Amino acid sequence: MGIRNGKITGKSQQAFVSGLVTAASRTQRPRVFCMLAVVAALGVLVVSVPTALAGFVRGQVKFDGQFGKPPKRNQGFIARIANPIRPVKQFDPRPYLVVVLEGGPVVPGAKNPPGRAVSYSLRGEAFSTPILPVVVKTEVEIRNAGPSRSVLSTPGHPDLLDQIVLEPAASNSIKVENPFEAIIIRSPHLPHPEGRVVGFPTRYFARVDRRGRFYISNVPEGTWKMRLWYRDGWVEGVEQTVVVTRARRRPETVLRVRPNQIPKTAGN
Amino acid sequence: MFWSKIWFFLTAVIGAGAMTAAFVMPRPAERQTLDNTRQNVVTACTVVNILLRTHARRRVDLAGEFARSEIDVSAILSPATVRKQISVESNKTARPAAAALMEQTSDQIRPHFTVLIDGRGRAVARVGRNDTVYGDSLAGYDLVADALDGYLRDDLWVLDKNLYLIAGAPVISGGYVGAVVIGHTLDKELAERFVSRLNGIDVNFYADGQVMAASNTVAIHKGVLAEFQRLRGTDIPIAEDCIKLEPFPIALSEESYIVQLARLPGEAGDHQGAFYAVYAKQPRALGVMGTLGQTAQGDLSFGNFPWLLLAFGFIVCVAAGIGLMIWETDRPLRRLSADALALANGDRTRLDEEASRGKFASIARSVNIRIDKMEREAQKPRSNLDDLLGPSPVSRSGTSQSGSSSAIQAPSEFKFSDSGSSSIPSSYDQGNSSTNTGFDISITSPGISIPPGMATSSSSGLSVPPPTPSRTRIPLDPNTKQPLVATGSQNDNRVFRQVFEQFLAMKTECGESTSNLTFERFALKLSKNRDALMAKHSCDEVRFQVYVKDGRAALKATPIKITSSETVGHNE
Repeated sequence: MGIRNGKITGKSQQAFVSGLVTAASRTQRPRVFCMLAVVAALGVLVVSVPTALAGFVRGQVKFDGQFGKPPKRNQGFIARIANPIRPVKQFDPRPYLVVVLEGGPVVPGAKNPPGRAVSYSLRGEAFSTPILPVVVKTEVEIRNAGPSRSVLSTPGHPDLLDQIVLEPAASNSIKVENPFEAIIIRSPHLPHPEGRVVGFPTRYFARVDRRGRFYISNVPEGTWKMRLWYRDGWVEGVEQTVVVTRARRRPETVLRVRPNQIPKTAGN
Repeated sequence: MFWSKIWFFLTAVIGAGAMTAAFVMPRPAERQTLDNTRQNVVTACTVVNILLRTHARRRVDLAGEFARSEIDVSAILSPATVRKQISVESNKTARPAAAALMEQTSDQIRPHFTVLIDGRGRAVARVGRNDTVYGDSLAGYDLVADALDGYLRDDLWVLDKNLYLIAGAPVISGGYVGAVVIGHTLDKELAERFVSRLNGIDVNFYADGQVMAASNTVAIHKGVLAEFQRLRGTDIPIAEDCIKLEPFPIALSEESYIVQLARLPGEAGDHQGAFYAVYAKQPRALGVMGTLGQTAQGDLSFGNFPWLLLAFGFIVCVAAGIGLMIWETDRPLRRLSADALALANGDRTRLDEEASRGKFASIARSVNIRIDKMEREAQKPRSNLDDLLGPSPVSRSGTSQSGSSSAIQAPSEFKFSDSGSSSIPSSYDQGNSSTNTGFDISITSPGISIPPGMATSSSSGLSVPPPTPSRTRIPLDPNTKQPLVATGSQNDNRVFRQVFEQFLAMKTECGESTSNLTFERFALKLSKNRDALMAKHSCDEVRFQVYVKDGRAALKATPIKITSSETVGHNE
């Protein structure tokens, strides 16, 4: 989209300025045109200063080996049966992975939470995403986007949610106070839904998509240590040093993970 | 009589044994019946578990059939998966397909609802429950997650306070593009089907602390839920609940039930405490009367009851009892009765002791002894009127008191002799072996109650001279010249002294030895016999009289009863 974390990227800046000029030229008033041009120039200048000094980190998480069958969940009267047509899916940890940058030059404001609440939707019997990384102190608005009423709690943090009843379309906000702490949200009576909100000290993190790709924008130039977060903690042994420059074409960073490096949890 | 008593004892023992058996026998039977009921409940619990597993397998197969049906749901779910949101069009396309899948299923296994889910876990269409709702995510359910991973499986869900048996299967079209989820409501009808072939067995299903389905309306829920709370946290695997857990009783107002619990698996079992209770009515403790009341006509048929053996035993018992009675009682009694009749008729002089046994022989012997005694007495010469008629009444002043209202007591005869002398045998022999006084005292009661009229000359006109033999002496009071009487007072010692002196004089006259005769022993003897006579005849006084009998000194005592008019009637 060209806008990431509230900042306007390079291509977007040009489009933004040209748009303003076009809009102004269509008017018949020179004074207004001049004023708009000055405002636009100042805006571009303000926005472009930090951006011009920042780069991005793009990469992919790749697994060295097979994870095996999906974890055993609960069981009914009979054990689950693998379908005879196609091999069952392998366990996939990617929805729970977050790539985090540490140790680099943090610009002022990178530790500040976004100005508005981050939405975390409960869509029926599952959250929109299994894990939601946010900057510490960010206000997270948990919204019931499902068709029925839900009761939610945050085990271990009764001060956040304590059997809060959320009617459809209703919401309730929580704030993550501590970094590197996963706040689990679940129903007290059901094993589902289950969501996680994890706080990080800066905004230099990104979730991994279904193919393992990730992209972190507006990363200040410098040397960073890239780490991988899985569910409730770090994936030990998966760290990589990344040098961020303003170069637009850089090789993709590949994070290689062996299956045995993923912590064993109830989910796997 | 001995064998009759033994027989009576044995019969009583057998009767008591029969009564004991009648009261005790129902209890082991009741215990056995209770054990059988418990075992039946345990077996029924296992059977219900097997039926639930079988039903689960059928449901899983049905879900698989839905996923691979000719109605190609993959063609609906595959494009829906790649869209950001589930469109109305997708829902409108998917709903008829899901409905058609349900329609083509037989009634017995037709699910109550079907949900078509895309590859992201979102509900594309629902039929049978919340039909208008779509687009929400069901990926949080373990069953849906497993189905999207490629597994067929079953589960139990609690939805809107109903317990559902769920099955899911993946929809495959090149890859996993979605899943089909079907649900059967665990309702009364299904509960009845699970126990339809189990006689007397019912089953209830519970979840979230309330009953979800019951094959019967028996209100045992409170006790069942309370018992289930104790099961929480047990280490027993769920599949072994029916075998490892102990059945327990629940008593209601009128009936008691034996209940066996077993936890249900799946999501409802893990998180909502779902379980089922199999129960049967506990047989009542009947007791003797209840057992008799439950006796059917067939129980008393010749095939089921040993009538012949019972009749044979009864006849043997009665015959043996009657035989013993005849042998030991009837025949000896009849023989003794005939002997007595012959004796009365003068055909016999004695009873036949040898022919009788036991008590009957003893009776005959006693009668014979009396007959012998009477014969001996009859052979004695009658020397005076006392021997023929008995002593005549003598007033206290020495005159007869005719027409008096005093009770005339029969006189008693005392005989004192030396210890070495023989005494007359008597059935009233006192013995006195414990107090050896040196005298043998025989108290001979005539046994004849003399009517006042016979003893009084004035009233009857019959003049009977007073029995005053020449050698009879009545001790008189030297002061009052009245006959001395012993009244039990301190004055008796003086009376005894005078009687002793006269008795001593009489013995001397008769030429008898008096060397062993002392007053102390004499007085003791008189005192004892005076007391005995006063107690026996309820008299007020006893008068002693010394006389000669058969050439030997003898002593006669006469009880005297004083009436209100101060008159005394007594015989010598």
